[in-house]
This record gives sequence, structure tokens and C-alpha cells, in this order.
Amino acid sequence: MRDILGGIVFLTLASLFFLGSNLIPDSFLSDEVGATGLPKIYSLLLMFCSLVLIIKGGVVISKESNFHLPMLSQNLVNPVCILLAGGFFILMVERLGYVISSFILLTILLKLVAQMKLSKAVLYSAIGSAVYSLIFILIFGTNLSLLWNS
Amino acid sequence: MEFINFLFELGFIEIMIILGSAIIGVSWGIMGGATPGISPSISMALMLPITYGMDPAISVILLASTYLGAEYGGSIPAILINTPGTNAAAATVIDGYKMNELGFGSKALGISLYSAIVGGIVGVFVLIFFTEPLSRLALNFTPMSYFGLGILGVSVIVSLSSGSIFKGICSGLMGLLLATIGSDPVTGVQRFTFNSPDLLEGIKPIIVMVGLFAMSEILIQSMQNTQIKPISFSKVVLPNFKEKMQLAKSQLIGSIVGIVEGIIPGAGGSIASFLSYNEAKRWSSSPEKFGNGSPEGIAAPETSNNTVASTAIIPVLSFGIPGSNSAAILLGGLLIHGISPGPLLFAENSDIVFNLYTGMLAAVFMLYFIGKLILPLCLWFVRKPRNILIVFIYITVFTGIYTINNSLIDLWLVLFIGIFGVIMRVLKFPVLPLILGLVLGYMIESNYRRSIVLSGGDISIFFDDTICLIFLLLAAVFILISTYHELKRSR
Repeated sequence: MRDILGGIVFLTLASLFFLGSNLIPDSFLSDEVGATGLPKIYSLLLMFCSLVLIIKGGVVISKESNFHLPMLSQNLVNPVCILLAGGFFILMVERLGYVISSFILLTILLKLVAQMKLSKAVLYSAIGSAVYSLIFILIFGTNLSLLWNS
Repeated sequence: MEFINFLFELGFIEIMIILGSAIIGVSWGIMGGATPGISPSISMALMLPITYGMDPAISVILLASTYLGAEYGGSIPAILINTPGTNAAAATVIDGYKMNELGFGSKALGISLYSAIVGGIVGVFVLIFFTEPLSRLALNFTPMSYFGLGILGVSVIVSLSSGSIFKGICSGLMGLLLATIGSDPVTGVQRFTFNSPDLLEGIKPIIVMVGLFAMSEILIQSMQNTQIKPISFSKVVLPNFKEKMQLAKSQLIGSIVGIVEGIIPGAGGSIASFLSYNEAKRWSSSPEKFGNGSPEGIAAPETSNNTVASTAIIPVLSFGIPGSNSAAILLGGLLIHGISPGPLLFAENSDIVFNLYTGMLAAVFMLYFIGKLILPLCLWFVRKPRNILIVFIYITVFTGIYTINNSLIDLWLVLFIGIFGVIMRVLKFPVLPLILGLVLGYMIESNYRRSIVLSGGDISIFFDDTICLIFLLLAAVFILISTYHELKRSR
């Protein structure tokens, strides 16, 4: 089953790349291979390998009486929360600034994923966003490289 | 010896900065390695965005010492809670946990630390002596040779595809396709960029590495409600002189295996650990003790995987070919600073290489002190609820990636590549071939097309170039041997 699903995923991606390579414009500087040459070869090869996987997977499944895909039964709420909160952060960071955005991201995740009490989550988030701003923006952003280069 | 001169010319401030970087890297590595699920490559991937704003020399020291620290750190939960912190520590579980059960947990940790230091010293010296001669060979390379080298690098995919060669090839081809995103190397035409200026230079390997390793790990770990096993408080008790002598043979075996496995791309620390465990048992005067709490059963794999931590860097620095996940991330650390490993590295950036050597030597010696001191912090860290750690690791990844270019596209890419990484891992597709394809894709395409232009379209130019021909033949032999082993194993 894994082979079939994997084959489908890669076949889809390869097809997208193949179709996309047809949209690459020509250039008068082009050599014999051209800008589209290798992307087309790679995507065709990937299509072939994906098809082999799908066929191979089908043969294996026909021999197995029951199969299941692991992890589908696991907790999907947490990763969905993480992804949505990440998306929110990306949309907000240039409007609200890093400190406020990271504070909101931390609060949401500590409350929903780590299941902290709201007051504790807010406290941790305030400290966390301050520390991250200090480390990434003030120290790693400028000072350390300047110190070393000097 | 240029390196010796470099050491003598180091000033006090430079020494302090190198030592400080080594201490931070080793500490971070030990804590990452000690946390089950956080492999050395993930510890390094988390460190990677942080190093972006730093001087390249500091960043490679931080990454390499993280690698060294993580290899030792992996043995801590292996010995204390029967759960290897890293893949390479899986062999340590066998005798390490047994020793802990027998009441010798502190001694087992001491043997592991001592062996890590021995392996580290051997590995760093091999790194220092072998890297430059190998890279000098590469000074004679033509575009055809580079193409052959790229193909040889990509051929490693077959040996990395345990379970299914086709899955590995799919993953590798995906990496090669991702490498075509951005400006065409010959004509400058935009490919798959959707007219976004952020994609003109292509997808940076760092984004893919952080997405595939760190982000996918965060998402997978957040799905699991793993109960943390209770950990008894322990300290590190190093072996005495007599015990050290008894461990020497297994450490020698571990070192030799580590050197060979580290230099061969695709082998890696986990294979080296099990191989050295087997060999140490075979050559031991008391093989019956293996599996029942034998100190030699800890010394051999721990020496081996810590030797690999240094020797795996040799192909990266000499040829720009990463043979393992961690080596690929170290390569990413060099690339984000615009440093191309390979033959010109010593000519153009020898100071960075020498700083790396010095930092790794410092890291090995710091391992002795930090390994003893940091254990309580590691145990505190491992005992923390996993979801809190996940949240803070997530924001570290996000912040780090954002600070690279202040690019929102990079953040979206990390999220999507993280989801893709989860899919790959659930469906048991190897991740490293994709990284290899991405890292080597540009080298393969640009040199292939340059060669074709030089020959006027005649592909026999690749067979006329002796170095290229040797690489292509080696790649063919490598693929045939790996395929043969794979077929034999599947039967």
C-alpha cells in the first residue's frame, strides 16, 4: 500500500514538473540540451519509477489479505494545530512584527498542543518571545558576526 | 604543515571563540542526542538557521561539534532507559542497558564517554591527514570530471535505499528536479519560479533540510503521546587505567570500522556501530559476555560512531559529496555562506577548514568535561513533557528560517516540505537521496551542459576524460554491488 500511495504522490509531482517544463520559455542563448532538457528527462524517469512502484505495490497487495497504513489512527489534531498556527504566523509576522507574532504563536501552541493553563502559557510565551528576539535578532542577527569579523 | 602554523598563529580571542563555539555545539549536540527522536542530523538542522548570521568558521565549528556531541548523547538514553537517542546508539543499548540493570549505569556512561573521546580523537586526526591530499587530487578536475563526480555522488542513492531501490531513486530524482528550480545555469531562463524573485536562486538546501528533518520530525512527534519512562539519576564514572587497557582492543576495532565506514559515502554511524559490535565480539577473548553487560560491547560501537562523526566529513570537504544526513547538513552550513567544498576549498578558504579542525579537536576534549557536567541537564531535558519541547523547537525552526532572508516564501516552503517529509517517512521513502539530488543537481547539470558545449554535442567527451571515466565506472560498480546486496537481502 505504501508503494502505491508513494508512487501516486511522486507520479503527480513528476507530471506537474513535466507540464511545467513545457512552460519554460526558449532562449536564443540555448545550448543543445536547453533549459527544459534535464527537467523533462528527470520528470520522465520519475514517472517511470513511480509507475514501477505502483505496479509493484499492486502485486504485493494482491498477495496480502489485509493491510493497513500506520499513523493514520494517531493524533492528528496536534500537527494540524501546528501547521495552522504556523500559517497564521507567516500571514501576521510582517503586519504585527516578530515579537507579537511569536508571542501569539507560542501562546496558541502551548495552550493547544502542550495543553498548558492559559495564564502559564501566556507567561511562558512572553518570556519565550523575548528570549528569541534577543537571541535571533539582537545577538545572532548582528553582534556575534561583527565580533568575530573584527 | 600549514595547519600547525595556523594553530600557532591563533590569538587569545580567537581561541576563546573557537572553544566557546565547541562548548555550545557539544552541549547542544549531547542534549539533542539524549532526546529520543532527535537524531544528530535533526540537532544539526535545528542549529543550521541559527548559524546563518554568524561567521562561516563559527558556524561550521558549531555544526561539527553538535554532530560529535549528539553521537555521544545518543548513548545516554540507550544506557538509562533502553531507548537509543540516535540510530547509531542502537548497538549500545544491548550491553549498556544491561550494565545499567546490573547496577553499573554510571560506569556504562563513563565507558561510553571515554570511547566517544577516543573515537573522536582518531576521527579528527584522520580528517586532518586525509582531507587535503584527497582534495588536491580534485584540482585536476575538468567539467567532465565534475559531472562524473556528481554521478558518483548520486549513485550512493542506491545504497541509501534500504528496502526499495525504486523508492530511493524516486527520492533522488525528486531532489534533482528541485535542483532545477531557479535560473537555468546556461541561459539564465527562469524555471518553475512562478515569477517570484525569492525563487530565482532556486530552493536553498537549508530550507529543504530543515523542512525534511526538523519540521517533519516536529509534526510526527506531535502525533505521538509517548509516555516518558522514569529515569534514575546517574553520574558518569570513567573507567580506571586497567579497565581502559581492557577496552583498547574493542576501541581499536571500533576506530578502524569507523574510519572505513565514515569515508565510504552512504555507510553511516549506525552501520558502523553494529559492524564494530560484531567484530569486537568476534575478536573478544570473552564473547559470551556480549549481550550480558559487556563493557567492550559499549566501547566498540561508541568508538565507531564517534569516529564516523569526523571521518564522514572527509568526502564533504574534499569533493563536496555528503555521505550521510549529518554530513549533508554540514555541507548545507558551508553552502549558505557561499563556500563551495571541493578542490578549491583549501586554496580559497583554508582558514575555515583549519578553524573546523581546531574546533573539532577542541570539541573532542570538551566532550570530557561537558559529558560529565551536562548529564543532570540532559536528564531534566529528557524528562520534560515532549509537547512543550516540540513547541519551542518549532518556534526555533521558524525564527531561524525567517532570519535567513526575512522571506515569507521560505517559511511557507519549510511548512510544505515538512508535510512532504511526513508523507515520505510514513510511506518509508528515504530522505537523504532527495538531499543528495538537490545538492548535486546543480553540479551535474551545469557541468554536463558545459561539457556538451565544449564537445559540440558529442557525449564521447565523458569517456575520453580519464577522471570522468573512472568516476562513471566506480558509480557503475557501486550501483551493481548495492543492487546485488539489495536483491540478496530481499530474497
